[in-house]
Amino acid sequence: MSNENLFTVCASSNLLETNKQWDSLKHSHKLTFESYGDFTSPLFKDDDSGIVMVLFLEDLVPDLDAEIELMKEHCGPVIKMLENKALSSSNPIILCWGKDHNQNVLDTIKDSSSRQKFYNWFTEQLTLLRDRFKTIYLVHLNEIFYPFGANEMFCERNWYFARCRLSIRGLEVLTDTLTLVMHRLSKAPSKVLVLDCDNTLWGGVVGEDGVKGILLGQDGIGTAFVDFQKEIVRLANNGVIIVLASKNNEQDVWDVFDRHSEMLLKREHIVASKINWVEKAINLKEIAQDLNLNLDSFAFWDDNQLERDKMKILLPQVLTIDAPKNIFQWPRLLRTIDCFAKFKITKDDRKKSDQYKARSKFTNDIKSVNDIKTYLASLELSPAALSLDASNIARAEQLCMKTNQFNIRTKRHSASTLQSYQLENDDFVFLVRLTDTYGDHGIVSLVCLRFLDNDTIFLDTFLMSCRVLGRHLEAWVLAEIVKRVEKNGARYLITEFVNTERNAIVLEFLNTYGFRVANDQNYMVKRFELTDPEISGVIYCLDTKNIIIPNIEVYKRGE
Amino acid sequence: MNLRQILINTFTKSSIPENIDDLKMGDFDEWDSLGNFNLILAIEQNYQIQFDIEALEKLTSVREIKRFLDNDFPE
Repeated sequence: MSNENLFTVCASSNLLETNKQWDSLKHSHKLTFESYGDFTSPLFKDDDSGIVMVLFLEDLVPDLDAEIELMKEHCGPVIKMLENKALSSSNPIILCWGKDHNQNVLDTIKDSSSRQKFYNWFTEQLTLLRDRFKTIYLVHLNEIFYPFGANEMFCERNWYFARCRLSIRGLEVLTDTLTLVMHRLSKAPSKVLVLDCDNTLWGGVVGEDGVKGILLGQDGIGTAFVDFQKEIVRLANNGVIIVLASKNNEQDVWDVFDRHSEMLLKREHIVASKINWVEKAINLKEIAQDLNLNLDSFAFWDDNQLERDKMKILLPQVLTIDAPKNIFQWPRLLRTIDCFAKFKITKDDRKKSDQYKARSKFTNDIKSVNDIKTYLASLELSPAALSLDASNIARAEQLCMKTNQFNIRTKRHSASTLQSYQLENDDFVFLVRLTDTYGDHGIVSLVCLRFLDNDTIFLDTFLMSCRVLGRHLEAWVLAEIVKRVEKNGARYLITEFVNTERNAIVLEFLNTYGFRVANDQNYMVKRFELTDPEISGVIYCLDTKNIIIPNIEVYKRGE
Repeated sequence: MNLRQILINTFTKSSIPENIDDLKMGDFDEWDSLGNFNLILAIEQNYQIQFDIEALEKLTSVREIKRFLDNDFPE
């Protein structure tokens, strides 16, 4: 049996071993506490236990204002004992070393006090030991306390009452840090960072805004994305495998890589990518197989909470990082994040991504989408169709002008054109508003239909905002369209696909939902051409009789 | 959390009776002086208060703790 969970905890003052703050560490590790003040006896025990040693400057010498040579003489033996222990044992020794702040700044800015000198000397001795022995780990308590402030971390009341230097918060920060260190001793860091693209690597949606329109570089938020990329590149150089999983047209993403001058992340950093409209969980499974890595070594970064929540449910073994809403916090979070932190970066690490790149290959997998549907059904998706009116016509026009990805023909209709279509038939122009457990998304879809002849209706416009993609809203909207087709006594729905390089998702929609390419000899197409000389794309036709719409079960709640 | 719940959470190896009014430090092994300090810290965390050091010296029984909470930190 491995003893990697066995640790003796000793300290120069009281660490309140029975306090709650130790519970989670006690749960994962077997801890034995020496009585406080006795931090040397574990160094003489010949057992199979690691050591956690917590030392405070104030406890080490009786008089911190004494001559520095005296203090060195007093504490030299501690260094010697640590050295002997490291020589004789292969178990880890985690040294935690710090000091309270109790000097006036004026006493320190022109001259170092003897306590400062001694602190620096002792720190240097510990650092030398750490560098010499691979079993010695050094935690600078003042570094880990710094973000919280010494006044929060130390507590004089606790000192005078219980000989504990730390406040409860201080104890919590200490035990959290020990947890981090001890877990990393037994478990390797994450190996793979999976990244979304839009609003993650840059601001904005490349499929909508174009390469020139995205936020990257420039100023303010654009520089935060650059700094975030800088951290990604740093991880890549340290051996983390960088993977893209994003819902885009693949070419759009590579265009940014190739043509945007502010991209620090380069194609050669990317070991594998899945840029498509498939569920990210399925993409990740495939990538894990391709790279021959376990999903539990994957960390997933996406700005979109829906995608994160789906990942947490569908692949709980993947570490889904809860990226804060505020982009400004991202660079620091990625720089300090626990899951990629490791004790040492080796030369091998630096070569690792090349090795994986060689291994990455395409494999086919049987895809199961049932769990995704179950999840979507739990979102309480509530769409509603709205007639065009004065309150929403501006939004309708805006959607027409701006939507580039899910937009069947990408016709940029003005408000007055939309109104004229509505005058032809009130059923034939409608908007869709969507609410779900994530909130009210507002108006996110627009449909325009026109009579071609008695049994055929022309799908002039069908677009959806990119912010609601991934919810199968297209299924519900199609059902709504079919209702209106039937109500008006027609049977066929005809449309054209105009390839704009950005709307590949539309092609997937047409194929998934039963549209068929109408062949040239088809009488309907001929009529169609006569009716509308503007037609330039591929003509698709859907027979709505007895139609079964895929994915619609996601919206069948309570019906 | 009420005081009894705090006692249960602090002294996990001991069984805390329904009526806690007469309990005091020393009544069971876990409630030694360090246990007492942990109890005080837990109370402070729960009620978001800080006792001064004179109070700490006296706070060694449920009766005293209740008296301090009622007098010094009325709801």
